[in-house]
Amino acid sequence: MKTGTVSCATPATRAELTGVLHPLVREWFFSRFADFSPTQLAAVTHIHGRKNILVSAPTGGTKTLTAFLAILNYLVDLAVRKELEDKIYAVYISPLRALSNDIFVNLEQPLKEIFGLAKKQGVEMQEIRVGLRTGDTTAAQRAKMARRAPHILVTTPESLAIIITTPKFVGCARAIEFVIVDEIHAMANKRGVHLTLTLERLHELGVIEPVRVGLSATISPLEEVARFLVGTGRDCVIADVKLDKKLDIGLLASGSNLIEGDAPAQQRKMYDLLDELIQSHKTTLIFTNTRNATEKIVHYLDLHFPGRYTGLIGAHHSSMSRQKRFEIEDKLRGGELRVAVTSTSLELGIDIGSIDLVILLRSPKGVARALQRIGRAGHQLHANPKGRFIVTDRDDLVECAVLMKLMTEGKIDSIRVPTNCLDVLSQHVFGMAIGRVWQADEMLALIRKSWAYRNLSNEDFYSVISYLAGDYALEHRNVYAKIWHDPRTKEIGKRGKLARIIYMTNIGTIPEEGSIGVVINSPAARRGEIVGSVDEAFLERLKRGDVFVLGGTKYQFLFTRGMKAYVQADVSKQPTVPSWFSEMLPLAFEVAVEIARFRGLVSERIKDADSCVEFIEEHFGIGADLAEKIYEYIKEQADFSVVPDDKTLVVEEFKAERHYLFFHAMYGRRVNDALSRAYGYAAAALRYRDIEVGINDNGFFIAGDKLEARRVLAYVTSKNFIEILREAIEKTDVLKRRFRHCASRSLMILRNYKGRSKSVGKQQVHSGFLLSEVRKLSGEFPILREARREVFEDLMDVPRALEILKLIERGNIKIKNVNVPLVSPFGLNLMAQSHSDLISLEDRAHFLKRMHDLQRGVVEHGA
Amino acid sequence: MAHEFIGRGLLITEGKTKILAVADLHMGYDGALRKAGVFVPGGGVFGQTMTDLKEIFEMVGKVDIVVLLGDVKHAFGTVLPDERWEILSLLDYLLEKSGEIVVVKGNHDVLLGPIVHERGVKIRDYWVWGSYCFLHGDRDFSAIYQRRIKKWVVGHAHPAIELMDGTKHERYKCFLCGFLWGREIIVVPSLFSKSEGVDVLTRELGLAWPLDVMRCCVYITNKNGDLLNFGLVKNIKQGIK
Repeated sequence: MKTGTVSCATPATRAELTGVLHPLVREWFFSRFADFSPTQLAAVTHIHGRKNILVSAPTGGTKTLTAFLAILNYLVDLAVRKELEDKIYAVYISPLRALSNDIFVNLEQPLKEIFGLAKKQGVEMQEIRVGLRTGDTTAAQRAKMARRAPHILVTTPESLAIIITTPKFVGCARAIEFVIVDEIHAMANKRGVHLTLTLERLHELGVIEPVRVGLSATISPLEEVARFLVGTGRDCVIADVKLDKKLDIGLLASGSNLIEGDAPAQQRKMYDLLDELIQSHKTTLIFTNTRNATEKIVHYLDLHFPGRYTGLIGAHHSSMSRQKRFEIEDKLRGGELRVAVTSTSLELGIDIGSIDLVILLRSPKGVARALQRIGRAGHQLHANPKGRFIVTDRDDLVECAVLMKLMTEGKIDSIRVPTNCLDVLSQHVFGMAIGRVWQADEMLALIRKSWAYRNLSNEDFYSVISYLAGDYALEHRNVYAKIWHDPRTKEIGKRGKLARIIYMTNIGTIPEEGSIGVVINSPAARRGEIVGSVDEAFLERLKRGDVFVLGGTKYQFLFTRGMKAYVQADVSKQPTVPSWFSEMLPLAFEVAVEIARFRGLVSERIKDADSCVEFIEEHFGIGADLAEKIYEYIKEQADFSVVPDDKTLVVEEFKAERHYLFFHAMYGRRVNDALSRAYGYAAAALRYRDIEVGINDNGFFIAGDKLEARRVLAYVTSKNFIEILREAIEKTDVLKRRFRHCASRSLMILRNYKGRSKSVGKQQVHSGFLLSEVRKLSGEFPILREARREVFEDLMDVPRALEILKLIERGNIKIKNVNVPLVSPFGLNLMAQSHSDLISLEDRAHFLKRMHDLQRGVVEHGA
Repeated sequence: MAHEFIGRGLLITEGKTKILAVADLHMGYDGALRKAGVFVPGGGVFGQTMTDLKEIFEMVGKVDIVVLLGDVKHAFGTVLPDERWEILSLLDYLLEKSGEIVVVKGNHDVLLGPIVHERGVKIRDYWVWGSYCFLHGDRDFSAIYQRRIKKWVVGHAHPAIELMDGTKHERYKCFLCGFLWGREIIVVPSLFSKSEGVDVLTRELGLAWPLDVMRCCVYITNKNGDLLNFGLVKNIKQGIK
């Protein structure tokens, strides 16, 4: 199979770029800008020359206008020559729905100005139309667009998938010349995979192959992203535009004692620090990672500094209504806010005005993300992006110091595009069948053109066809089938009158996450009181008796009913689960490995405190006070136990209420996730009891009644790892949850059907049942396999975990088993914050019998 | 006259007469799911219910009377595609295995009458046999307070109990037996396989009478047909190791 070549784009000279611009466009450009930006020099002539191109540039690098400049230039030329036809010339796709402002600035405004210029010069030109089509576009607007095609269509991936299935639209989409994919770095996921198939279908509808232009923030590896953009067998050039601005970054600790994170005195210090930073800048943007923390910061800033921030502070996170978010974005642009606090939602895209400082509260967990966030400051040309990390505990301190170092060295963590997603494939096969009758081979050939499906096997493809054709249903229930497939003629077509409606109303890949109301059930005096809400993902992990914190108060979980969780208030027990975990970003592998390496470097020098602190200062370029804190932290661990590093995996064993094995595994959370479940399974299998596993970025633990460290460690090998892991995840909540998402994407559960939409709670109940039915049918049901793949490859990082196991077997990483009387300093955060899951091995009947014996024992003993 | 717990059914024997009572079958549930946009591959709830019934009959053999304790049908104001087919298939199977079918009306059984009538089966509000009275459990009737009636056999509640050992928790369908106003109430678990039922520790039973769950006895049958007596609900310890 031809893969296509990917090469570096040579930047044009100023004269070359000026030369390709139409006089009108040229005049307009220089009336607005002093000169071309490096991004424009790097990319515009290539787009003009109809080359597929991936443009990677830091935020504020004028990417969007770069892409539009070449296209506007072409269209203006046509419009002046009166050769503009009623068809779509260019499609611009962005993952953001809130596009209107960006489009106004980069498209409508320039068009208006060019048109005005032409008028002034007495040049007659045709009107160039821009059409915006998103999920919010009204039916009337859509109909208008279908009658008179926009020359430039601005849309989202989901809306584009709908458009190519709409006969009215297909007519004017047959000769699209440019496709721009913006923010492609945010689409290295199922949404992006979905888009690649949409683009292949778009090509197939047309008579010419459009040029593909991808716009990305700093990302790695570029070659992979380029192939993802253009598909199999097509060439692509890469314009990798480096930041010409200097990064101004620094690290601050909020108090002298980082261990007592939540003490009021320290809180006060942190808010004083925040206030000081905000007051000495014009507009500050604070990233907090979680929605909870976002709300908290806004609340406390107001509390600690009464009146100072009234009307000048805004929160922005994904569970806020869209309208509310727009309001904040508008205020930011208008310069009305002094400070905006966000979880992660302001990371992407749209220009948010004159921010001159970005504060990262807690680690952003990856280099690319850190760069993206800090790039939000100094969006204006020539301003240096300024960012400050504020760390809240000692793990955070080391992590942020390492991140800063990697940022200045330009070492970006790598992303991986999911491949062969069978749920996304199901959706598209259905969509294709709605359009016309296909030959199976022809359909498969089209699918394989997408980079994400280049290796799709015949078996996988036909298993999806079987699923959609209802081969898995009982005979008298053929209502279930969505397509028909005739194995004799190899033809595939749609089935059912509602096919198109079902497709249109259930398209997309973003799983719906519900929010569950928390209601007090006891004490009776407060019964029915609503105290807040938690994520559905969070709720799924709660078991009866768990204690969690919500809005600063502790509650004990009792049970759920529908979309409500019933809890007991007035709890004195310690929390068993942190409420923000489900939102936590996973630490990148590269950053974790660098942390481990750093620990090693410090342990080598640990004996001589002064020179070691000096080394740390120099290594990170941080002040002596912070370097000392890092030294102390690692010294404490060295004194108490053993310091884990890149060559030593320390496994600590201790007994409290239960028996614990703590693995200080520094390989990023996705690897930890995989390893923890394998070792958890080993422990479960050895004693035929369920085992609890806890995971965070710095390691994982397994806990049970009784563990035998040596046997557990010896049980997992690189040979049996995959097999063990497959067994281990089979009964976990994680798989259940992913299966629900996959079932919804593959249209087994329709979110919208016959005019009714289904709540997430309903979807969840149904999917649990579906999963058990599917299992009865076949362990290899395609959608179940997809859920497993998602857990293995997207949620976890199984290939890298396997590499780690091989390194252990080869002796490159040594396991050190240590007995400790209680949790070691490095284990404290893991113990307190880790997310836990259960490795279920003991079957229901066995558990029932055991519980019965125990119960009878208790009763007889008590009697 | 004696009763025993067989799978999820209650078997009553007197002399040579055998009566089997099962509860809450919710036929047509798969169709209801499809109507809601959930496409269940394979045999679905119906397939599982029939499998469970067959397992019970393998243990008890043929019986004289089968009592369906209500909620035979799932959908309220409508007859869904497949629903009639499922109910008739069920009745045909039960007629093979028994001499007579008695159906008491459940709250879901609004339109059940005409369908079961096709096999000559009548629907009643309650049915008395010896000292036993069979009814759904959602409604009260004055006639069930007759002196000679000592036991009420009901469905409706879908009773189940969640057992925990501190790490693992699992829910099991169970029989509940308790006393109220001098009578014994036997709550039969549902045959409905979609869910494991309602945890009696955290949810109310929803019966027409104020039966004190805490003072009920819990019985669970396991796969090989063994009966496990868990004693009174109030004595069940959670989180024991």
